[in-house]
Amino acid sequence: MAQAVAERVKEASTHQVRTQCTMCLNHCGIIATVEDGTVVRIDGDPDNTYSLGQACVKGRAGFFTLDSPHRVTKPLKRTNPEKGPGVDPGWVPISWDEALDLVAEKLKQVQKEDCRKLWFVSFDLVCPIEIPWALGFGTYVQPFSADLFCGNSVHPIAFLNAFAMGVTPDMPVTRYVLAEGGQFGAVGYRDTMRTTFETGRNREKIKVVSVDPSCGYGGGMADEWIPIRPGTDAAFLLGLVNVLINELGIYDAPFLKNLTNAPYLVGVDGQYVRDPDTRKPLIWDTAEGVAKPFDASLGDPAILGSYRVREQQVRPAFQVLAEQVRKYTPEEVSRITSIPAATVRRIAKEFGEAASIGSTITIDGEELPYRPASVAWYRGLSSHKHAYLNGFAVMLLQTIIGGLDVPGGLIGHHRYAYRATEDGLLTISDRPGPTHPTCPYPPRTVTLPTSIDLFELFPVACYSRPFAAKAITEPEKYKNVALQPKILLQRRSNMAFTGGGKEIMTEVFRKVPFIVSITSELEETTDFADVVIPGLHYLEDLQPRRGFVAYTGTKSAVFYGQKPVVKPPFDPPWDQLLSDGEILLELAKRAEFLDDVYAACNATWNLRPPYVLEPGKQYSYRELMDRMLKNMHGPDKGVDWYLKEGIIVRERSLKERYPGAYPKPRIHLYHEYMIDAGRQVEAMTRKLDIPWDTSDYMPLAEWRPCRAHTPKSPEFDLYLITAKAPYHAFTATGSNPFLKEVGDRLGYDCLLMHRDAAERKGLKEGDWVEAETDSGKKDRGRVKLTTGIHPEVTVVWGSSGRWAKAATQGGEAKGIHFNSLLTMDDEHMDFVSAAVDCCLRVKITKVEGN
Amino acid sequence: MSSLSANNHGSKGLISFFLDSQEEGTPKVPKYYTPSLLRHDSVISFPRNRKMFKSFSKTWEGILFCKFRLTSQSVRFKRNATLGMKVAVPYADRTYTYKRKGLAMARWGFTVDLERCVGCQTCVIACKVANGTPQNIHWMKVLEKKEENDYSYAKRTFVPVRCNHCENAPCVTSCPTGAIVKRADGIVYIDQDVCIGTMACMTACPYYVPSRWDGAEGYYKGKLTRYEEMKLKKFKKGTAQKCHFCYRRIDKGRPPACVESCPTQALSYGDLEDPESPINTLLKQKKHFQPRAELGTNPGLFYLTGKGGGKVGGMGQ
Repeated sequence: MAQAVAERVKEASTHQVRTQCTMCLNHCGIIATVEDGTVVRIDGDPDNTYSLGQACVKGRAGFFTLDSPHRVTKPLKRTNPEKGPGVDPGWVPISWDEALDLVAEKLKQVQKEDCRKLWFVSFDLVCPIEIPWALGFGTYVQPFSADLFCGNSVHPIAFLNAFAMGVTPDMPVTRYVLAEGGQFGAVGYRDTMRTTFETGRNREKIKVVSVDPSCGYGGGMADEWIPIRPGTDAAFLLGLVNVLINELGIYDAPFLKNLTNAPYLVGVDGQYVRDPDTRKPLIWDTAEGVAKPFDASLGDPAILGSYRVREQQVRPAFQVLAEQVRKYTPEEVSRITSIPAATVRRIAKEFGEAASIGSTITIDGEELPYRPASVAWYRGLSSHKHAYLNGFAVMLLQTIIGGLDVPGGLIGHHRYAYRATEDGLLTISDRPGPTHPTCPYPPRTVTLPTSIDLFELFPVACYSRPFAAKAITEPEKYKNVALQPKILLQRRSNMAFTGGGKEIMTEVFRKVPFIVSITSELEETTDFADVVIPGLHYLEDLQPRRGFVAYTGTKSAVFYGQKPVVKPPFDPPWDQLLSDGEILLELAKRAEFLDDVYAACNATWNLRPPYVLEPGKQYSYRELMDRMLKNMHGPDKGVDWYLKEGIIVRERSLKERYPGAYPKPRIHLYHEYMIDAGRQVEAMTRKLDIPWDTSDYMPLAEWRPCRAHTPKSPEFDLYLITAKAPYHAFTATGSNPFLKEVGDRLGYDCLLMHRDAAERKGLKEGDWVEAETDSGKKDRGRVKLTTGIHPEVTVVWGSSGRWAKAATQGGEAKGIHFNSLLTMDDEHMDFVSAAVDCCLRVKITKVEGN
Repeated sequence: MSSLSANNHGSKGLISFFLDSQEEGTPKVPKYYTPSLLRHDSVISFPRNRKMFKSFSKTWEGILFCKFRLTSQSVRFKRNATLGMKVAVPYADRTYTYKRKGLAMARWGFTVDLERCVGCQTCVIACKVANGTPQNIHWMKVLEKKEENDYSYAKRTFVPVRCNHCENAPCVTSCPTGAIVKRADGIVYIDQDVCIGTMACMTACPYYVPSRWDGAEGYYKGKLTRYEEMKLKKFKKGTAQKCHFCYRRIDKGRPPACVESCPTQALSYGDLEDPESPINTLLKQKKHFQPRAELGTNPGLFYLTGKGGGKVGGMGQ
């Protein structure tokens, strides 16, 4: 295909560049065709085995905004002191020197006071300089923008059981995918369209079952769509676990006995029963009829039953689980979720049978365990009051069938190295400190909170950014312990839109004395900035990846990255502007912490001689990249090679691809560490007299109703949730006219509602309605009717309701801004994972047209 | 010399008409037999019937300007209202190329696998970018069909739609200027140079495919982007717009942009005349139907709906 693309191009003024798309978190490899100095088309990179030679609708449209009239071409300074959404900042252009000096001056002040008062927020960590720059300054970079709705139910549990940042079904090999609230197979966040590419290749071999309140795109492509009441997935999943264990007896006993903590004995207090001398957790060996330490030689570890140890009746963790899930009978699950009991039984049976427990498959000459059934999840389970427990529930299903990191099961991606703790359980050996997410086990010791987002009170969460908004806007509630930021520096992120809504974010921004945005277009957040510095479009930026990437159990891993395909449409502040990273380096130079940045580069990039950076010197960005690349790949692969070629495909060993098939420490079935972590949080928050809820610190998953499960009064009869469409992502796409046009045609800005619900309320297609939450938040939109939705549910698409001029093209803001309907009160926050509950209860009433 | 040279209104003009309006790199094959003669202000409308056509093509000029052999499928005679007489309305023909290469004549068709389509709209944008279509013009659309089923079994179906390149294309017969041309290999395209925007095709097409571009500002309501400046040059204001099967890519042996871009491989294309082609393999493997087959247009499009058999060429009936 690359040859065919190249064949089309004969003229000298046309050429192609292999680069990376950043329209979403997928970061597919793409080929940009350049004609007369501008990009005229984007295709997938057929040499990139990670993105499979494909580029989706967003990637293909991405180049169009290169010439956007909303591009920031000069540094800007605010003249209007009033800050608010849509309020004109009164920008005046200033010189680069003035802008950089102004920001550097503020940075120096903060450094004197407390480095951590720089709140540095970015998006996708694509810029290799960001992490060392923040470390060099003395703080952390916080990725994923407002981080409100990220993998709260994903990352901790993935670290725990797959020593990876996330997990994904082994699409080339699997046969059954249960997509639980995540539109997997059509569009799903971390993996946005990449999974779609892969599902497409294997479509006829896989049965995809989508369990989702909204049919959407995932349900539309699935073999079966099962509507579910929002916020009840844990009940459904635990119902499946109950049927599998207690009705069908389908679970991978050898795997559980030998590779998980299922046989660890648990006392009445819920904690491990430990050997009195060595403190090692005990296991009951049925072969000899005694309790032994976990690392003794065992005949047959018991996972069921009840045993007497030191005058205490104890049970293996799996027995505790089996008893705990009994209450999730299909009939009870049906009452909670609205899924018929027969369907619960049927799906459990299908999933269990598809898992083919005990079978093996030969790959590359080796026989490996074969479990071709996987459950996929992401946002749908993460944005809830009980998100952390949701993560437990879904991982439980995958764990009992023994389908982790083996062919056909869930495979970790973005892996870390692992080690065993003293209790013989798996953890990751380098806790990723410079940025989150972090591993929940062993839990961090709870200390007096000092960070902006009270992270110290979240010992098992991977991050706690939503609480930054709470701590900034309600400092007295949190006894003024949290750090109040002095500078907010944002690069390529739009917290005003992606945060907790207009009201709270306006308050947050107004409380930060100095805000700087490095951005390519003026958008919702720049309304609050004091200084705006021109940032580069992703097709103008030199940003190699920091390593290889591979998803699923595929053979190859790929290194590639972003390249400056075209020059930016403004005069660079110095010879050439190759990257946003150059701006950061210049700030470091003017604020006099450049040497610290170099030291941090040496550490985070593992630079070895002769590439080590020396203090006192001045390296250009290009040279830094050259050293980083050569250090990674060898002396012949520096920036010149990268700009010309810049892709390496390497083969992975079977152990790298399927580490679950090889001996390694036991993974978690029973989360005993939660008990002590919860006690520590309880003690600290009681000491500080901060209102806090530690009731979710439990060792096993449970379904608990969220606030929306029972309406406050009958007129709030509908749920309002949000969902993704494939042609919009975050705020990366809303100002792209191609994608906007497509979305407008399809009614992206509408409120999706079930026909029957509409009929009950006397609503017709296209009617204007007001949606009011039971917390009093309101917004208006037009109604679109469908039967592809749970009758109790309405949907607002994720990126609708943008109000920045770049997104509305100067017109009216269209659609409902979902986040502005959220309420970040204690009833709607998950105190274990810091998630924000996105199950809203709404009253929908007809209003006269706008 | 033949009668043509006596009325040699600039043979250079004729040659340049035939040849220079083509893209760089495409084979230098004349587009038409004789359309320029018909469209000049002169009253020559020559040749007037099939017999004259045949004898003309054997002359030196005929050979020079009409490098093909006449076949009965490659041209038809239609009464032209303006000229008040029958004129030759040709099919742009690749017969010459095919015969030279020893290939049998193809009939290009599409399949769309409704089981695989996820409604992502990638093909819509791929088509737009490949062809540079202006604002509001989509040669390819993906519809989100309203579901009529009972709630418990409700599903969404995403339906990619574009021109079906029908065998009996009503747009071709309805076009008064002969702007819509059906190639012998089945591809139907609109020659914008000829189209004057009567939109008879829009009324005639039972699939509501052609739309009209009345000219507009660019996407950014103001200055055109550099990309737009390059692409909008190819679009004539007021003309009918529709998918042309990416015929330039087809002629180079490449798939249409939509097919190439589909993330789930839901779109396929191929030669319906070739029993081994991918399209026929799919039609054999999966149940399928043609849109509005009862109208007799014999569209070159088959929607695949699931496992089950079919026949080669899709003529399952």
